[in-house]
Amino acid sequence: MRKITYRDALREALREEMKRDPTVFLLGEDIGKYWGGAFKVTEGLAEEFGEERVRDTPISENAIIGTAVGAAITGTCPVAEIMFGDLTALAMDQIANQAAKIRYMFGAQAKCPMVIRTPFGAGVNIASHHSQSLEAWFMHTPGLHVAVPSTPYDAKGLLKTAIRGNNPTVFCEHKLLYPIEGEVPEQEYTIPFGKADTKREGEDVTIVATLYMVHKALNAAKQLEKENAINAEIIDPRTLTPLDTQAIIKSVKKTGRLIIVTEDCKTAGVSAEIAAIAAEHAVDYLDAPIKRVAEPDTPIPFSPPLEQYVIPNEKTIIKALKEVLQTW
Amino acid sequence: MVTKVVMPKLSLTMKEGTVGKWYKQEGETVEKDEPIVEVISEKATYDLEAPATGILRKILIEEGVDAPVNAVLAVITAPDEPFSETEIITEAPPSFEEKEKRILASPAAKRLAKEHGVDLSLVKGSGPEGRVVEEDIKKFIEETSVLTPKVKEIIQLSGFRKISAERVSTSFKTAPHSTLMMTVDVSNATKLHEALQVSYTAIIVRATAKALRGHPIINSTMEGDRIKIYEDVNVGLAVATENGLVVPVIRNADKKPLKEIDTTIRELTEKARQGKLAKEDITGGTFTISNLGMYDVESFTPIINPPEAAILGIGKITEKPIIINGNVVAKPMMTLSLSYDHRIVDGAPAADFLRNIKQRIEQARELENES
Repeated sequence: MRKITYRDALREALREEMKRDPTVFLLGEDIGKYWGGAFKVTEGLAEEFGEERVRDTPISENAIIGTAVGAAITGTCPVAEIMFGDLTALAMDQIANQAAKIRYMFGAQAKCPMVIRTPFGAGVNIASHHSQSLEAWFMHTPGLHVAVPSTPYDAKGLLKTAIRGNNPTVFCEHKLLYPIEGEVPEQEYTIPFGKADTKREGEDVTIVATLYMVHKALNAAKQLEKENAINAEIIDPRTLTPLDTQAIIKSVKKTGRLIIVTEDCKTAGVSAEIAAIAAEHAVDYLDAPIKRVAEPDTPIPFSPPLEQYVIPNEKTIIKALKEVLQTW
Repeated sequence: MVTKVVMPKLSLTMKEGTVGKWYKQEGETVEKDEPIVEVISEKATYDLEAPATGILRKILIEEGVDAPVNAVLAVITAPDEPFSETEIITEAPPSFEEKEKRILASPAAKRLAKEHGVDLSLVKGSGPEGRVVEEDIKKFIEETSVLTPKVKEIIQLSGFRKISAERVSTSFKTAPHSTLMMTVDVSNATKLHEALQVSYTAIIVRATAKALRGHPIINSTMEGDRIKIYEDVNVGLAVATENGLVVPVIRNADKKPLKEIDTTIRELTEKARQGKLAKEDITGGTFTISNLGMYDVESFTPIINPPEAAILGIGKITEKPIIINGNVVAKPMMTLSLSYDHRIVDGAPAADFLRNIKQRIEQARELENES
């Protein structure tokens, strides 16, 4: 199968959906013909579909999302890009109080079918205002869907589902994933929300990981298998809302051990929710305490060594694995 | 340093133990970890090791004496070290609930242990701080499985068997059973059996029914704190079938001629074997007879068919040497076993009833004339 990057997979999804449905349009800062988006996801789309459908906006996240909400409830399907996930904070009233609640407040007589694409994640040395992982904010807001694709295949399939859906979706990308290559079929496909993917089969321990951490977990699992003959199973939820709790419970029941690897900070984070689900539904199958490998509760440091120190990596994942496997 | 030797807790449920042999005497030197005394619990015998090196200064609990968990059994001190015996003795042994060590076990291990009835305190944990993990339970089950007999089949009690089990255990638990045995000469009954072509069972049913007439307290049931005495004498007969025991009832057995009783028994027994007994065939019994004579049983202790007051067991008829007027005579003899509910009737009236049956069987010829 052909291999393309995560960035190209996202662009393909946008292009295919814009071709399929004339009401789909893009808006965001520098996404048009002059720049093609800060991470080049929308490159070439303005030329292909025109500036009416690929709209450069002023530097106002609140206005971008407000515009998208208005456009969505009046019958179009906007896909807004927020250049850095951190800046969703500027549009939080529109996201959390408007987009998330419109369908509910109007008894489903109005709906808000929109997508907010935005990159999270640290590791490129751009300090604390451009490096956070804030997926949990959106998980904590009923009315929003939250997608967290980790591969080009998932990125394309989930983005198409997000665009076709009736609910506002916060589509969380990761800066370091854009250049990653992966197999993506030529033919049309979509991926349903709420369906986790087993990225690796194993019997000894379950790792639930999201976004870029899926790749670090895969590396750690490979190393562990090679050096210690331990087989880790890696579950990628792919969407946090809705969350495929059954897949997590099933895997925990199989392995009896769970570690969760996410890049957001540990307290009240994505990993906390997943740990709670395992404790609620599979406690009798746990053979060791649940471990969370997440960022410490700190702003992301600008100093490169300190930044690398706070981000979970293969070493910290292996350390946690060994702790729950208690064989060392 | 004054070190106390205390009664160990050898299992989760152990509350006290017995001191066995003291391997060391007062004044002897003991090494740490050296066995000094034998401790006997309900489950195991264990050599208790010295908790410290020193002189076994004082033995407080002698051989053969029980002591609660954590009670001080002896004191180890350095040579000539002063210590107050009274202080140690008057010190109440700490309650074992307080000292009970929490067994560290993972939830998965606990679940598996529960499923297999494994006592967690017996499993050695391999996890951090000795935590018992699932693998430890699996190993434990595997290791101990060689000690338990291999199971061929498990039968889930259901339907008839379950009801039967419940009734039998209810009877055995609630009615204090006492059983009287009496040997009966069946010479006359044998003649009757041959002359009229009736079964021995029919003869005994009739004799019993007649006897019940004269001992109404036996022809009764107990319900709560009330004894219900019946006007009707309905004798149930225990019949073994493929599916278990059934008790068809011969109604008004005291009023039926012997021949009719015999016919009724044949019909009911046949129906029972074919599983064709109707509800009216098996309800309304006031007394039960169980015959195991055909299996060569001499006597036994039958369990009362609740809520009835008594049950009569019939043994095998055997020729036995009987002494009559100083002469040994061979006579066909049979033993009757009467189990009765001691709440309803005492030993003497029960014995009187049984003797009445005996007399009626022994005078069997008269049975046919009476009615």
